[in-house]
Amino acid sequence: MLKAFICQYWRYFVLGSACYLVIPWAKAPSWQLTALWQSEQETADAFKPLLKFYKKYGDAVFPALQAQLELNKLRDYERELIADNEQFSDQARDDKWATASEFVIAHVATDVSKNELRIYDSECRNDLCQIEIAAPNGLTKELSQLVLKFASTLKAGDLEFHQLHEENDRIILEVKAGKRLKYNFIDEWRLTPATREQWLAEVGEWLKKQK
Amino acid sequence: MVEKAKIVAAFAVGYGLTLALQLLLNVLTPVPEILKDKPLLTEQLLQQDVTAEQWVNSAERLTEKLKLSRL
Repeated sequence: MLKAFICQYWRYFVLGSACYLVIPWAKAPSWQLTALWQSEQETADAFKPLLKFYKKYGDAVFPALQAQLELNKLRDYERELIADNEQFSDQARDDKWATASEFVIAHVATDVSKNELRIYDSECRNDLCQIEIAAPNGLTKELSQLVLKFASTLKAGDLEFHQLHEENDRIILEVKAGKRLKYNFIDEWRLTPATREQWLAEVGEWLKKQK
Repeated sequence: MVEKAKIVAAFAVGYGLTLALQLLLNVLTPVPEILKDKPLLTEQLLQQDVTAEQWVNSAERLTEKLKLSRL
């Protein structure tokens, strides 16, 4: 009877198994799995600084240690997002900032260079702006000076020179703002969980006790 | 109705058996020698699916914060 049941419904059995494997929530932690193929000495070396720390501060450090670990995870995740947004082409548009920056760029281009600098197009996204500047004769000495003046004026408005490359009849100037990247709803939600304040408080409390 | 219940049962058995196998493997996975005499620390470490390096980073960051708070 069991055999007949398995033969008839094995697909759902496999589906259930696969569903667990997609999110294997009960798996052993990475450090323990890594220890399986490491020698005891290698594992001991890997944990040495942690054990030294634990010896010094004892069991009372656990809440702060766990909280700091969670905060580090958030920081690592934000670093990943920053790396994913490194190129202009990877960025989504932060509309409010981008519109304001494009306005500033247009203003600076006409005001500073007295219309000598011909801007074909400028586009801002999340923290990068690309400005296409006409260069029919390539990057000549005069044009370089104008671009430098233009870039230094933009720098005063928190748009720092990032990179410059030449194309056929134009140069592409890329400037970068020092602002925090704007992420989509899910990423923002993951970066600012409700428990974040609690983690910060745990760390703060431990620091106070150590003073 | 019975057919649907059988499908759900087959799915649950597949999920449950894989989970049980995972839990069995966890029990069989040894705790490193260096942590054997530190059950409380081991218990804490087992709560997080991270690497040893991440634990060490956490400890180092706390040490840095402590130094900064004492300045």
